[in-house]
Amino acid sequence: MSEDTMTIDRATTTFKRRSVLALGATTAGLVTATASGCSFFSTDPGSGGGDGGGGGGADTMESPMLTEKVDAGELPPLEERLPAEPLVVDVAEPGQYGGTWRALTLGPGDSASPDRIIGYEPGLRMDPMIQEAGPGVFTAVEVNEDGTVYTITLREGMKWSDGEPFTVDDILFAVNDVFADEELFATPPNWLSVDGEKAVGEKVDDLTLTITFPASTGLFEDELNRQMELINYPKHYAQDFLPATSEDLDAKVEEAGMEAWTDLWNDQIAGEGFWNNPDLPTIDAWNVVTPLGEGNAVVFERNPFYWKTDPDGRQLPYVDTLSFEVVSDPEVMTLKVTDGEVDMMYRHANTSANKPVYADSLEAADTRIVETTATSMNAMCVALNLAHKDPEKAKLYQNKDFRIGLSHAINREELITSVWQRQGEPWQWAPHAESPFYDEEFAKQYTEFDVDLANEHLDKAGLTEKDGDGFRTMPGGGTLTVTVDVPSAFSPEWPTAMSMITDMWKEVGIRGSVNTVDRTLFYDRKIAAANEHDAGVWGGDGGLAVEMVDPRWYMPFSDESVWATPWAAYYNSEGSDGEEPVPAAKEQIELMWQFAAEPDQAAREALFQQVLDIAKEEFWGIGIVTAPNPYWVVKNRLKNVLEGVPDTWVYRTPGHANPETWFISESE
Amino acid sequence: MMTNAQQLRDLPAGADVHHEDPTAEGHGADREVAVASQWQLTWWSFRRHKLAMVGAVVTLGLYLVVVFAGFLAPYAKSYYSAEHAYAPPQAVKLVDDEGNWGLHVNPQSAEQDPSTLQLTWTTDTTAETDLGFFVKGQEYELFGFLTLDRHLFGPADPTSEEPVYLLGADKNGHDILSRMIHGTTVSMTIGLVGVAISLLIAILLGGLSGLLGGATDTVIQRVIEFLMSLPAIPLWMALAAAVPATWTPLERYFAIIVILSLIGWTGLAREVRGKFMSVRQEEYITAATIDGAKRGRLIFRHMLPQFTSHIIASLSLSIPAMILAETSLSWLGLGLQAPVVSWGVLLQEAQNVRVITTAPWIMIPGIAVVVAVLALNFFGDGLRDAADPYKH
Amino acid sequence: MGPYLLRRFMIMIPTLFAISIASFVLIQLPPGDYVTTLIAQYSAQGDQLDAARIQALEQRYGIGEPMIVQYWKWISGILFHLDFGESFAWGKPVSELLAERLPLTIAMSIGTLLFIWAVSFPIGIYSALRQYSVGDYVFTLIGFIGLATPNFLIALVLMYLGMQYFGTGAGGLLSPEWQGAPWNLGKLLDLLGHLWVPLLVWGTAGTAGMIRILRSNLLDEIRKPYVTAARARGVSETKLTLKYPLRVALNPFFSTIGWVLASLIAADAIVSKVLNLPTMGPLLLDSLKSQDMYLAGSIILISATLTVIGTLISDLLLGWLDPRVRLGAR
Repeated sequence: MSEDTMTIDRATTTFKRRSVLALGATTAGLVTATASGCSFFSTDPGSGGGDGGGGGGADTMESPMLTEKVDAGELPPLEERLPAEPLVVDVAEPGQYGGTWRALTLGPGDSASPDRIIGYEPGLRMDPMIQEAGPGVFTAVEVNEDGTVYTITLREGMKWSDGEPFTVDDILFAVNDVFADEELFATPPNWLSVDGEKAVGEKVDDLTLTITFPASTGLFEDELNRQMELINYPKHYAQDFLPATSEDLDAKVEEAGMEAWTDLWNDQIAGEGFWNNPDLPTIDAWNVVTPLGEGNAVVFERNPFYWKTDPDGRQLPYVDTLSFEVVSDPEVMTLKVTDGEVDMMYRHANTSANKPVYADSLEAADTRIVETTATSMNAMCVALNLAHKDPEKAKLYQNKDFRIGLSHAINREELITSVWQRQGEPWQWAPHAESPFYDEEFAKQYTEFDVDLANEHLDKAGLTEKDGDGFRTMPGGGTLTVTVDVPSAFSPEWPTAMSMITDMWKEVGIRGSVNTVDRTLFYDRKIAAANEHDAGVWGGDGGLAVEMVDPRWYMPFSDESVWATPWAAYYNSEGSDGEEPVPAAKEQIELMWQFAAEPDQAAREALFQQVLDIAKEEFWGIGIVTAPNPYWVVKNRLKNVLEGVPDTWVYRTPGHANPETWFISESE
Repeated sequence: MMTNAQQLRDLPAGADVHHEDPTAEGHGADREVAVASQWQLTWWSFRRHKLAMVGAVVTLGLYLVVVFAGFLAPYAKSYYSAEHAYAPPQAVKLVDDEGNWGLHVNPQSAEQDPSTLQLTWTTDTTAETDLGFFVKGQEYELFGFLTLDRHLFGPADPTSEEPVYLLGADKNGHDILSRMIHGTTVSMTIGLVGVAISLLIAILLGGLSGLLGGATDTVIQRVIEFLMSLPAIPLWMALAAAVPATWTPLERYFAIIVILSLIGWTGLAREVRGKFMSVRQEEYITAATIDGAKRGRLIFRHMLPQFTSHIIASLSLSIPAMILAETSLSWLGLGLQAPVVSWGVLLQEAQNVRVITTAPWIMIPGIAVVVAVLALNFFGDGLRDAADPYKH
Repeated sequence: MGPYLLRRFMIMIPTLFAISIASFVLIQLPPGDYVTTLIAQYSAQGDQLDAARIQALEQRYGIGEPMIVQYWKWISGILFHLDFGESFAWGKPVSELLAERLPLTIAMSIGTLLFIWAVSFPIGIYSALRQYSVGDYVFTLIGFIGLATPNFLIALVLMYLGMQYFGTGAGGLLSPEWQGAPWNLGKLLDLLGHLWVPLLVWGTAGTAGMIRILRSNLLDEIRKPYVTAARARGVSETKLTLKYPLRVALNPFFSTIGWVLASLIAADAIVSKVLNLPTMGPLLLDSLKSQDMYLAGSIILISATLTVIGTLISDLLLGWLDPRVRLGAR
């Protein structure tokens, strides 16, 4: 190794000596630079990854990278690329163009990593704090009085990333062709249908269309500000991939080596298309140029036709290139961040346990920690299966006193100190403190650690008899064991915390058992079709900003409602499937059915409040501690990054925090 | 393994037998003496290998830890002190600042930065937690029936709030030292039990293969070749997935052992087969056959004793492989899981950047693995070198 | 030699057939399938799939079909078109993914093999000739430490040290600025700067076995009568050990060729995963976890085939080196 190095030295020295000695140092630099151009003996990476800001002062209206292309005649000038009225995005500081933003992804299955930065381009856009929706791709949406007809207005002159105009036809293609395809959607999605009957789109004029539902719906309006599938299909390109509109689809499928056209569709257009297919036109700020599986990174480059500007009318995004290096393991992510190789880390490696590691390396890695707000209300929800297969168990678990007893037996302060890095406060399955639905009593009820009170409630639940080992027996006399399924390798805190909780339950005579299972197996056991679990643990999704979207812990909502999945099946099948729930839950379900058909926002909130009131009264399950706020580790050169935004998959955080306005600048 | 080691030691040191003609083995009346002489010769040969002697002593020590884990560990395996999560190791001091004698440690407390969550540990040199030997502590069971509460050492005052964590604490405030000692039980026995099961399969199939030859041999050899050519990880995953989710930790533990041994028997079986094949050719076997010895007698009296020592040596070399396999299984999330304490489970917790950068003492159980594997390897090596004392 | 070779090839066929079935069955044994993995993944992100999407996914990945149909599809594709199927997770043909990683995997295997030979050869000979000397103990101890340390632990620690003190960046085989750069000396140096960690981890793990075999073989050999006879005739001690006994004792070096490649693909997947290496190991690990069956099945099949072929090669090499082995193998 060292010998090779010596060879170059010798080579350059001789070269130098032979050329003009008198010119000295400057020439030497020049010589090396010239020599490095094409020689194998060069030690220069050439154009590589972490270059700095690309320049172009605050007065240039577009990225120099694009100006070059315009000058070369490869691209129309800026005025022709922007819509008549671009969406103007507020920025804290006008940015400079250029640079490569380096991020990480775990590769296949982790399309969410890029999706979260570039994928939030809905019809109506939530503001960074998720308070209210404003114009996005659509400039306006109006709904008629009975909530059946939605009139959508598009942005004039808006274009796809390949320069083709974005028109009413594109939306109609999605509504009338894509969602109508029975091979893609056996039944239309519930937000675009009422009782299984799909809505119909109709063109009004070049910029206006209507979507008409068979009956009034309350689900569509919220969906407008998070549903990208309505907008994401460029008809001029995607129609060749759909049997209804394509002529040579079979040949295409065969050429791609796939078995069915749906394979090709999912791979190239929907879902994974945005990072697999460089030819797919999008309306995102960046488009993929190096797809997954080619090289070590997935690389995206700026969309020359992006339809947003900063307040000075300069085209966004500021950053030219996004590079997602594919790594195999979250620990490698941690190391790369502490090594300063990453401009922003916002997924997988941002655990509480890792925070001190990043804090230690802030200076060396030239990074800062940016706090966000958790939308989850609980770090750990312990759910007894109220719809247990065993009727005796179900009866016991449905007894509110039993659940209250178990809750009082838990010393949450100790768990917080030992397991959660001393972060958070005791909390039940109740909305987040920042939520409009926040109710302190709901959040704090039965959280105090009180063994006597716990025993009292357990006695009241009919568990007065004990076996030889001092554990309470079933009211019928059988052994009572609460077996809690804990998914492994998902949240490292859960198995430890759960085994501590079972130790605490022992003190009140309840035998608990921790069953650490693989995540897939956990899912397989808890779904309504299986319903094999006795109890389970998961995070408290749906605490803030998305309470009404994902009320899994407040009422039996989906297979994610670990505490009663068969009841959720009853809710989702309009009562034709699953298992009929207890009266209180049934009342909630009926309220939610009304909620789905209610177009008026205030009335919807009132209905939801009733659902929450029942949840508070019924105390469906046991919460432990508030979820820690997620954080990002951001390189100091990445500017305009917003602090304190709510973090949620529903709005693709940081997507709603306008990453197109963030920029790279090495200066302070 | 321990019993073998003891057996070796317990043999009479009398030198009056070793000059006996070793080939006297087949002569009936003198056989016992002759066999003893072989063990004796083995022992002498073994003693020459210093590293193997050290290995034997350490191995014996580790199995003593297995037996007396509850007594040796200052705390129970589930004991934790929440305030001492990530506490660094404490130095044992004999004299305090004022010159008073007595073994003690200084209590530590942590301060946490509310935004970065960094912990700063300070040692309070003014306070002392006295250490004592044979102190009262938490109850434990010895040999499965004796309930005791005396520990080899620990805080002299059993009611003391301040824990004594000589090797520091893990992320939940468990004592690393205690858990490492408790983990010895699971990890060292996994090897032992697993190897026993492997041995059974290996002797049965390897023996059949070597003795019968022909078609049986071909079939068994193909099966072995097939098992050996499949990568271990998918085999582990498939078998681990077959373990029912509702099993208790103890049942899972046995399942993991069975998995490891179901994969681990092949090498041993090959060895057994090879030995049978070569011994079959020996003249004294032919002689015994002509003498009219029955097949069973041939195998158990004449053939097996010839290479038991070899098998023991191979066994002691398979145990460390099993210990390492257990740590790998835990890493993959397929092995034993959190409430159970094994070296693999402890190392799983050490497997992250947080530990390396801020709490390297959590990796200490790795040293236990290294020591155990080295000791068993050298012990086995020595045994193997010594296995055939007539050879050299 | 001819009939012997033919015989060996004939035996390989049923073994490979059994392996192909086993690799397929193994992947399907764990509960769930690729679609459940996907669903779990989506739900972990807070996303929810409605029944319609799930049904479409199941259709797409052919999950509902009976195993035998799926097996036939897969194996006939391999046999007749050399088509290993498509990876669900990557949405790419398996052959393309493997082609990208196989060269590096093989290069790493060869590098490791050379490392093992280079370290164990001198130690093995020294320990045999100076049995029970201090040097024997010290070198053997060093040789064994690699075996005794859990690989995944040492890998992470070495990677951290490399990053902290040698500036090699975290994981991978190239620093970020060299990725995608054309090959030149700088890139090579950068590669070598990263390569020492995996070589050290794998190499040290393999040396112990090799030292042990070499040492005991050589010990056996130098006690044979022909060596004594040669010594009696006044042949020099060096020649005495190096000329014939060493040659025989070298056999294990060739028999390792068989397993080294396959073991790198499979058993050391853990290390590659920790070190973020673009080899086949992590691909296997991930595909098994997500039950990406064609990818996992193909890797298992290929690695098992390599083992079988490797064993054949090393047997042939041994037979060529030592005619007694050929005879013994009938």
